[in-house]
Amino acid sequence: MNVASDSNWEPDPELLAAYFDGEFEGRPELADMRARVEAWLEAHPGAKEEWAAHRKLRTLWQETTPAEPADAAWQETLARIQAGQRGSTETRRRVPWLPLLAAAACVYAVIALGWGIAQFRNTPEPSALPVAIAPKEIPPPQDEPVEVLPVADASEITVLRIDGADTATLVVGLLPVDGDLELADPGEVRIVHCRACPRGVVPHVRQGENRPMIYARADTD
Amino acid sequence: MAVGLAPLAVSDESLLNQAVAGHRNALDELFRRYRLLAFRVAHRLLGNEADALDAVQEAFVKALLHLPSFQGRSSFKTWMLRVVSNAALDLGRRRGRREALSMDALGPKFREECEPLQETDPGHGLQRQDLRKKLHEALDQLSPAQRQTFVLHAEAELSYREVAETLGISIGTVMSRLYYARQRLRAVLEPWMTEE
Repeated sequence: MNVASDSNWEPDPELLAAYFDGEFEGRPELADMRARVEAWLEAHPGAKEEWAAHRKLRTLWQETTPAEPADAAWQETLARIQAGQRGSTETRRRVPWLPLLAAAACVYAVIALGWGIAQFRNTPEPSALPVAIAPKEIPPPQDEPVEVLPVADASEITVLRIDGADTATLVVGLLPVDGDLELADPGEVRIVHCRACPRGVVPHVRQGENRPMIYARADTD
Repeated sequence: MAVGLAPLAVSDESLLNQAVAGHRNALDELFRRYRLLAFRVAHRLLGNEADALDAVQEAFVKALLHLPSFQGRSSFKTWMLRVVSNAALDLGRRRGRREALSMDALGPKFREECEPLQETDPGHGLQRQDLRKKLHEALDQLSPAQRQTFVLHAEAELSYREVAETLGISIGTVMSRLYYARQRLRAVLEPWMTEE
Protein backbone atom coordinates (compact mmCIF):
# COMPACT_ATOMS: atom_id res chain seq x y z
CA MET A 1 0.00 0.00 0.00
CA ASN A 2 1.40 3.37 -0.98
CA VAL A 3 1.43 6.15 1.59
CA ALA A 4 0.94 8.93 -0.91
CA SER A 5 -1.96 7.26 -2.66
CA ASP A 6 -3.87 6.28 0.48
CA SER A 7 -4.99 9.53 2.02
CA ASN A 8 -7.86 7.87 3.91
CA TRP A 9 -5.58 5.58 5.86
CA GLU A 10 -5.27 6.19 9.56
CA PRO A 11 -3.46 4.13 12.17
CA ASP A 12 -5.32 2.08 14.74
CA PRO A 13 -4.96 3.50 18.25
CA GLU A 14 -2.92 0.42 19.18
CA LEU A 15 -0.56 1.06 16.29
CA LEU A 16 -0.23 4.70 17.22
CA ALA A 17 0.60 3.70 20.81
CA ALA A 18 3.24 1.30 19.49
CA TYR A 19 4.80 4.18 17.58
CA PHE A 20 4.75 6.36 20.71
CA ASP A 21 6.35 3.50 22.63
CA GLY A 22 9.24 3.44 20.18
CA GLU A 23 8.41 0.00 18.85
CA PHE A 24 9.35 1.00 15.30
CA GLU A 25 12.81 2.25 16.19
CA GLY A 26 15.72 0.15 15.00
CA ARG A 27 13.35 -2.09 13.02
CA PRO A 28 14.14 -1.73 9.29
CA GLU A 29 11.34 -4.16 8.42
CA LEU A 30 8.86 -1.66 9.86
CA ALA A 31 10.32 1.38 8.14
CA ASP A 32 7.43 1.63 5.69
CA MET A 33 4.85 1.49 8.44
CA ARG A 34 6.79 4.03 10.44
CA ALA A 35 6.80 6.41 7.48
CA ARG A 36 3.05 6.01 7.10
CA VAL A 37 2.40 6.79 10.75
CA GLU A 38 4.70 9.81 10.66
CA ALA A 39 3.01 11.12 7.51
CA TRP A 40 -0.37 10.70 9.14
CA LEU A 41 0.79 12.52 12.28
CA GLU A 42 2.10 15.33 10.12
CA ALA A 43 -1.28 15.68 8.48
CA HIS A 44 -3.24 15.44 11.73
CA PRO A 45 -1.95 17.94 14.31
CA GLY A 46 -4.79 16.97 16.64
CA ALA A 47 -2.98 13.70 17.28
CA LYS A 48 -0.46 15.67 19.32
CA GLU A 49 -2.95 15.57 22.18
CA GLU A 50 -2.87 11.81 22.08
CA TRP A 51 0.92 11.88 22.13
CA ALA A 52 0.85 14.31 25.08
CA ALA A 53 -1.55 12.07 27.03
CA HIS A 54 0.66 9.09 26.32
CA ARG A 55 3.70 10.90 27.69
CA LYS A 56 1.81 12.22 30.68
CA LEU A 57 0.69 8.75 31.71
CA ARG A 58 4.27 7.55 31.43
CA THR A 59 5.43 10.44 33.63
CA LEU A 60 2.79 9.71 36.26
CA TRP A 61 3.79 6.06 36.24
CA GLN A 62 7.44 6.94 36.81
CA GLU A 63 6.59 9.37 39.59
CA THR A 64 4.99 6.55 41.55
CA THR A 65 7.86 4.10 41.20
CA PRO A 66 7.93 1.99 44.37
CA ALA A 67 10.72 2.91 46.75
CA GLU A 68 13.48 0.35 47.18
CA PRO A 69 13.18 -1.70 50.37
CA ALA A 70 15.70 -1.26 53.16
CA ASP A 71 18.83 -3.38 53.05
CA ALA A 72 17.60 -5.41 56.02
CA ALA A 73 14.48 -6.37 54.06
CA TRP A 74 16.62 -7.57 51.16
CA GLN A 75 18.81 -9.62 53.48
CA GLU A 76 15.79 -11.19 55.10
CA THR A 77 14.29 -12.05 51.72
CA LEU A 78 17.55 -13.60 50.54
CA ALA A 79 17.76 -15.65 53.73
CA ARG A 80 14.24 -16.93 53.12
CA ILE A 81 15.12 -17.86 49.55
CA GLN A 82 18.15 -19.78 50.78
CA ALA A 83 16.03 -21.53 53.39
CA GLY A 84 13.40 -22.37 50.77
CA GLN A 85 16.05 -23.74 48.43
CA ARG A 86 17.59 -25.87 51.19
CA GLY A 87 14.20 -27.23 52.23
CA SER A 88 13.23 -28.25 48.75
CA THR A 89 16.65 -29.75 48.05
CA GLU A 90 16.26 -31.95 51.11
CA THR A 91 12.82 -32.95 49.91
CA ARG A 92 14.16 -33.84 46.50
CA ARG A 93 16.96 -35.87 48.03
CA ARG A 94 14.43 -37.94 49.92
CA VAL A 95 12.58 -38.82 46.76
CA PRO A 96 14.78 -41.83 45.76
CA TRP A 97 13.74 -43.57 48.99
CA LEU A 98 10.07 -43.22 48.23
CA PRO A 99 9.84 -46.18 45.80
CA LEU A 100 11.61 -48.41 48.35
CA LEU A 101 9.26 -47.29 51.08
CA ALA A 102 6.26 -47.83 48.84
CA ALA A 103 7.45 -51.34 47.94
CA ALA A 104 8.01 -52.18 51.61
CA ALA A 105 4.55 -50.88 52.46
CA CYS A 106 3.01 -53.06 49.72
CA VAL A 107 4.77 -56.18 51.03
CA TYR A 108 3.62 -55.41 54.57
CA ALA A 109 0.06 -54.83 53.37
CA VAL A 110 -0.04 -58.20 51.57
CA ILE A 111 1.26 -60.02 54.65
CA ALA A 112 -1.19 -58.22 56.91
CA LEU A 113 -4.08 -58.97 54.56
CA GLY A 114 -3.19 -62.69 54.48
CA TRP A 115 -2.96 -62.83 58.25
CA GLY A 116 -6.30 -61.02 58.57
CA ILE A 117 -8.06 -63.45 56.24
CA ALA A 118 -6.67 -66.39 58.20
CA GLN A 119 -7.92 -64.89 61.45
CA PHE A 120 -11.35 -64.24 59.95
CA ARG A 121 -11.71 -67.87 58.87
CA ASN A 122 -10.91 -69.04 62.42
CA THR A 123 -13.57 -66.75 63.95
CA PRO A 124 -16.89 -68.44 64.96
CA GLU A 125 -20.04 -67.40 63.07
CA PRO A 126 -21.70 -64.34 64.57
CA SER A 127 -25.06 -64.72 66.26
CA ALA A 128 -28.13 -63.86 64.25
CA LEU A 129 -29.04 -60.88 66.41
CA PRO A 130 -27.11 -57.64 66.04
CA VAL A 131 -25.80 -55.98 69.15
CA ALA A 132 -27.90 -52.87 68.55
CA ILE A 133 -30.22 -51.50 65.92
CA ALA A 134 -29.34 -48.03 64.73
CA PRO A 135 -32.22 -45.73 63.89
CA LYS A 136 -32.60 -45.15 60.18
CA GLU A 137 -33.09 -41.44 60.61
CA ILE A 138 -32.33 -39.05 63.42
CA PRO A 139 -35.03 -36.35 63.57
CA PRO A 140 -33.79 -32.78 63.81
CA PRO A 141 -34.25 -31.08 67.20
CA GLN A 142 -37.46 -29.12 67.45
CA ASP A 143 -37.61 -25.60 68.89
CA GLU A 144 -34.31 -25.88 70.62
CA PRO A 145 -32.75 -22.54 71.53
CA VAL A 146 -29.69 -21.56 69.54
CA GLU A 147 -26.64 -21.85 71.72
CA VAL A 148 -23.63 -19.62 71.60
CA LEU A 149 -20.70 -21.44 70.08
CA PRO A 150 -17.79 -21.20 72.50
CA VAL A 151 -14.75 -20.58 70.36
CA ALA A 152 -12.19 -19.95 73.06
CA ASP A 153 -12.02 -20.34 76.79
CA ALA A 154 -11.29 -17.18 78.75
CA SER A 155 -8.30 -18.86 80.34
CA GLU A 156 -6.75 -19.34 76.90
CA ILE A 157 -6.56 -15.65 76.15
CA THR A 158 -4.40 -13.05 77.79
CA VAL A 159 -5.15 -9.49 76.85
CA LEU A 160 -2.20 -7.46 77.94
CA ARG A 161 -3.73 -4.04 77.58
CA ILE A 162 -6.84 -2.43 76.14
CA ASP A 163 -7.55 1.23 76.44
CA GLY A 164 -11.07 2.48 75.92
CA ALA A 165 -10.20 3.93 72.54
CA ASP A 166 -8.57 0.71 71.45
CA THR A 167 -11.62 -1.47 71.54
CA ALA A 168 -12.68 -0.41 68.04
CA THR A 169 -9.40 -1.60 66.66
CA LEU A 170 -9.26 -4.96 68.39
CA VAL A 171 -9.43 -7.72 65.81
CA VAL A 172 -10.19 -11.26 66.79
CA GLY A 173 -9.24 -13.86 64.24
CA LEU A 174 -10.20 -13.94 60.61
CA LEU A 175 -13.92 -13.74 60.15
CA PRO A 176 -15.97 -15.81 59.93
CA VAL A 177 -14.44 -18.19 62.43
CA ASP A 178 -15.28 -21.66 61.26
CA GLY A 179 -14.74 -24.34 63.88
CA ASP A 180 -12.63 -24.15 66.98
CA LEU A 181 -10.60 -21.02 67.39
CA GLU A 182 -7.02 -22.14 67.43
CA LEU A 183 -4.82 -19.18 68.10
CA ALA A 184 -1.39 -18.72 66.66
CA ASP A 185 1.51 -19.12 69.03
CA PRO A 186 3.73 -16.09 69.51
CA GLY A 187 6.62 -17.95 67.94
CA GLU A 188 4.67 -18.37 64.69
CA VAL A 189 4.00 -14.68 64.25
CA ARG A 190 6.56 -12.28 62.92
CA ILE A 191 6.09 -8.55 62.49
CA VAL A 192 7.26 -7.66 58.99
CA HIS A 193 6.80 -3.95 59.29
CA CYS A 194 4.64 -1.40 61.05
CA ARG A 195 2.46 1.13 59.34
CA ALA A 196 1.93 4.48 60.96
CA CYS A 197 -1.49 5.99 61.17
CA PRO A 198 -2.90 8.85 63.22
CA ARG A 199 -4.26 6.45 65.83
CA GLY A 200 -1.17 4.40 66.38
CA VAL A 201 0.85 1.77 64.55
CA VAL A 202 -0.66 -1.10 62.63
CA PRO A 203 1.60 -4.14 62.49
CA HIS A 204 1.82 -6.13 59.29
CA VAL A 205 2.37 -9.66 60.48
CA ARG A 206 3.24 -12.90 58.81
CA GLN A 207 2.14 -16.22 60.26
CA GLY A 208 3.55 -19.65 59.63
CA GLU A 209 0.05 -21.14 59.59
CA ASN A 210 -3.02 -19.22 58.60
CA ARG A 211 -4.36 -19.42 62.10
CA PRO A 212 -6.37 -16.65 63.67
CA MET A 213 -4.77 -14.39 66.16
CA ILE A 214 -5.63 -11.53 68.41
CA TYR A 215 -3.74 -8.32 68.15
CA ALA A 216 -4.32 -4.81 69.30
CA ARG A 217 -2.74 -1.75 67.85
CA ALA A 218 0.44 -0.50 69.47
CA ASP A 219 0.81 3.07 70.60
CA THR A 220 3.34 5.28 68.89
CA ASP A 221 4.74 6.67 72.11
CA MET B 1 12.01 3.41 34.92
CA ALA B 2 15.26 1.71 34.10
CA VAL B 3 16.82 -0.40 36.80
CA GLY B 4 20.58 -0.62 36.67
CA LEU B 5 21.97 -4.12 36.61
CA ALA B 6 25.42 -5.26 37.61
CA PRO B 7 28.00 -5.76 34.88
CA LEU B 8 27.45 -9.19 33.44
CA ALA B 9 30.95 -10.60 33.94
CA VAL B 10 29.38 -14.00 34.52
CA SER B 11 26.28 -14.94 32.55
CA ASP B 12 22.96 -15.37 34.29
CA GLU B 13 22.70 -18.95 33.09
CA SER B 14 26.07 -19.82 34.56
CA LEU B 15 25.13 -18.22 37.85
CA LEU B 16 21.81 -20.05 37.85
CA ASN B 17 23.49 -23.43 37.38
CA GLN B 18 25.92 -22.66 40.18
CA ALA B 19 23.12 -21.50 42.44
CA VAL B 20 21.15 -24.69 41.85
CA ALA B 21 24.28 -26.66 42.73
CA GLY B 22 24.30 -24.87 46.05
CA HIS B 23 26.86 -22.11 45.50
CA ARG B 24 25.64 -19.39 47.77
CA ASN B 25 27.65 -16.60 46.14
CA ALA B 26 26.03 -17.33 42.79
CA LEU B 27 22.57 -17.04 44.30
CA ASP B 28 23.56 -13.82 46.03
CA GLU B 29 24.73 -12.33 42.74
CA LEU B 30 21.62 -13.40 40.83
CA PHE B 31 19.46 -11.98 43.58
CA ARG B 32 21.42 -8.72 43.57
CA ARG B 33 21.05 -8.39 39.80
CA TYR B 34 17.32 -8.86 39.59
CA ARG B 35 15.86 -8.19 43.01
CA LEU B 36 14.92 -4.57 42.40
CA LEU B 37 13.34 -5.16 39.01
CA ALA B 38 11.42 -8.16 40.35
CA PHE B 39 10.38 -6.20 43.41
CA ARG B 40 9.03 -3.26 41.43
CA VAL B 41 7.00 -5.49 39.15
CA ALA B 42 5.60 -7.36 42.14
CA HIS B 43 4.90 -4.13 43.99
CA ARG B 44 2.94 -2.74 41.06
CA LEU B 45 0.84 -5.91 40.99
CA LEU B 46 0.32 -6.16 44.74
CA GLY B 47 0.45 -2.61 46.01
CA ASN B 48 2.59 -3.05 49.12
CA GLU B 49 6.17 -3.81 50.02
CA ALA B 50 5.72 -6.82 52.28
CA ASP B 51 3.65 -8.79 49.77
CA ALA B 52 5.98 -7.76 46.96
CA LEU B 53 8.97 -9.14 48.88
CA ASP B 54 7.06 -12.37 49.46
CA ALA B 55 6.42 -12.64 45.72
CA VAL B 56 10.11 -12.03 44.99
CA GLN B 57 11.04 -14.77 47.45
CA GLU B 58 8.57 -17.22 45.90
CA ALA B 59 9.77 -16.37 42.42
CA PHE B 60 13.44 -16.95 43.18
CA VAL B 61 12.75 -20.24 44.93
CA LYS B 62 10.57 -21.37 42.02
CA ALA B 63 13.18 -20.28 39.52
CA LEU B 64 15.81 -22.35 41.26
CA LEU B 65 13.53 -25.37 41.56
CA HIS B 66 12.22 -25.30 38.03
CA LEU B 67 15.42 -24.69 36.17
CA PRO B 68 14.63 -27.42 33.59
CA SER B 69 11.60 -25.44 32.40
CA PHE B 70 13.87 -22.51 31.63
CA GLN B 71 16.13 -24.32 29.15
CA GLY B 72 17.57 -21.07 27.86
CA ARG B 73 14.68 -20.45 25.47
CA SER B 74 14.44 -16.87 26.70
CA SER B 75 16.69 -14.62 28.72
CA PHE B 76 16.82 -15.25 32.44
CA LYS B 77 15.49 -11.73 32.94
CA THR B 78 12.26 -12.29 31.00
CA TRP B 79 11.85 -15.75 32.51
CA MET B 80 12.28 -14.36 36.00
CA LEU B 81 9.80 -11.59 35.24
CA ARG B 82 7.23 -14.13 34.14
CA VAL B 83 7.76 -16.18 37.28
CA VAL B 84 7.64 -13.17 39.60
CA SER B 85 4.59 -11.63 37.95
CA ASN B 86 2.75 -14.96 38.09
CA ALA B 87 3.77 -15.37 41.72
CA ALA B 88 2.51 -11.87 42.48
CA LEU B 89 -0.85 -12.51 40.83
CA ASP B 90 -1.21 -15.81 42.71
CA LEU B 91 -0.31 -14.13 45.97
CA GLY B 92 -2.80 -11.36 45.29
CA ARG B 93 -5.55 -13.88 44.71
CA ARG B 94 -4.69 -15.80 47.87
CA ARG B 95 -4.40 -12.75 50.10
CA GLY B 96 -7.09 -10.56 48.62
CA ARG B 97 -9.96 -11.95 50.61
CA ARG B 98 -7.99 -12.19 53.84
CA GLU B 99 -6.90 -8.56 53.62
CA ALA B 100 -10.42 -7.43 52.84
CA LEU B 101 -11.82 -9.27 55.84
CA SER B 102 -9.16 -7.96 58.18
CA MET B 103 -9.64 -4.36 57.13
CA ASP B 104 -13.44 -4.65 57.15
CA ALA B 105 -13.27 -5.70 60.76
CA LEU B 106 -11.49 -2.46 61.57
CA GLY B 107 -14.26 -0.27 60.20
CA PRO B 108 -14.32 2.40 57.50
CA LYS B 109 -12.99 5.24 59.67
CA PHE B 110 -9.96 3.21 60.63
CA ARG B 111 -9.33 2.28 57.01
CA GLU B 112 -9.40 5.92 55.95
CA GLU B 113 -7.02 6.98 58.68
CA CYS B 114 -4.62 4.12 58.31
CA GLU B 115 -3.58 4.41 54.70
CA PRO B 116 0.19 4.11 54.42
CA LEU B 117 1.96 7.33 55.27
CA GLN B 118 5.20 7.24 53.35
CA GLU B 119 5.83 10.81 52.35
CA THR B 120 7.18 13.54 54.59
CA ASP B 121 6.42 16.53 52.36
CA PRO B 122 2.83 17.33 53.38
CA GLY B 123 1.82 18.85 50.06
CA HIS B 124 3.53 16.96 47.30
CA GLY B 125 3.77 13.84 49.40
CA LEU B 126 0.05 13.52 49.99
CA GLN B 127 -0.66 14.30 46.36
CA ARG B 128 1.71 11.59 45.22
CA GLN B 129 0.30 9.20 47.76
CA ASP B 130 -3.17 9.87 46.42
CA LEU B 131 -1.88 9.35 42.88
CA ARG B 132 -0.24 6.09 43.88
CA LYS B 133 -3.46 4.92 45.47
CA LYS B 134 -5.53 5.85 42.43
CA LEU B 135 -3.07 4.19 40.13
CA HIS B 136 -3.24 1.00 42.14
CA GLU B 137 -7.04 1.14 42.14
CA ALA B 138 -7.02 1.57 38.39
CA LEU B 139 -4.67 -1.40 37.99
CA ASP B 140 -6.98 -3.44 40.20
CA GLN B 141 -9.83 -2.80 37.80
CA LEU B 142 -7.93 -4.47 34.98
CA SER B 143 -8.04 -8.20 34.42
CA PRO B 144 -4.96 -10.01 35.74
CA ALA B 145 -3.76 -10.59 32.18
CA GLN B 146 -4.07 -6.92 31.27
CA ARG B 147 -2.41 -5.84 34.50
CA GLN B 148 0.46 -8.25 34.04
CA THR B 149 0.98 -7.17 30.45
CA PHE B 150 0.94 -3.47 31.28
CA VAL B 151 3.25 -3.79 34.28
CA LEU B 152 5.78 -5.87 32.36
CA HIS B 153 5.86 -3.22 29.66
CA ALA B 154 5.68 -0.07 31.79
CA GLU B 155 7.67 -1.11 34.84
CA ALA B 156 10.10 -3.70 33.50
CA GLU B 157 10.39 -1.81 30.21
CA LEU B 158 10.04 -4.93 28.11
CA SER B 159 9.38 -4.35 24.43
CA TYR B 160 6.15 -5.63 22.89
CA ARG B 161 8.03 -8.60 21.51
CA GLU B 162 9.58 -9.41 24.88
CA VAL B 163 6.22 -9.15 26.63
CA ALA B 164 4.71 -11.45 24.01
CA GLU B 165 7.49 -14.01 24.49
CA THR B 166 7.35 -13.75 28.25
CA LEU B 167 3.63 -14.39 28.42
CA GLY B 168 3.37 -16.67 25.41
CA ILE B 169 0.92 -14.44 23.55
CA SER B 170 0.93 -12.64 20.21
CA ILE B 171 2.18 -9.10 19.74
CA GLY B 172 -1.34 -8.14 18.62
CA THR B 173 -2.69 -9.32 21.98
CA VAL B 174 0.00 -7.30 23.75
CA MET B 175 -1.03 -4.21 21.78
CA SER B 176 -4.73 -4.56 22.54
CA ARG B 177 -4.12 -5.26 26.24
CA LEU B 178 -1.85 -2.24 26.54
CA TYR B 179 -4.36 -0.05 24.76
CA TYR B 180 -7.21 -1.11 27.04
CA ALA B 181 -5.04 -0.70 30.14
CA ARG B 182 -3.99 2.80 29.14
CA GLN B 183 -7.57 3.85 28.45
CA ARG B 184 -8.58 2.62 31.88
CA LEU B 185 -5.66 4.31 33.64
CA ARG B 186 -6.22 7.58 31.84
CA ALA B 187 -9.88 7.60 32.80
CA VAL B 188 -9.14 7.00 36.48
CA LEU B 189 -6.21 9.43 36.56
CA GLU B 190 -8.07 12.13 34.65
CA PRO B 191 -7.47 14.85 37.32
CA TRP B 192 -3.72 14.30 37.02
CA MET B 193 -3.69 13.96 33.25
CA THR B 194 -4.44 17.64 32.72
CA GLU B 195 -1.75 18.89 35.10
CA GLU B 196 1.37 20.45 33.66
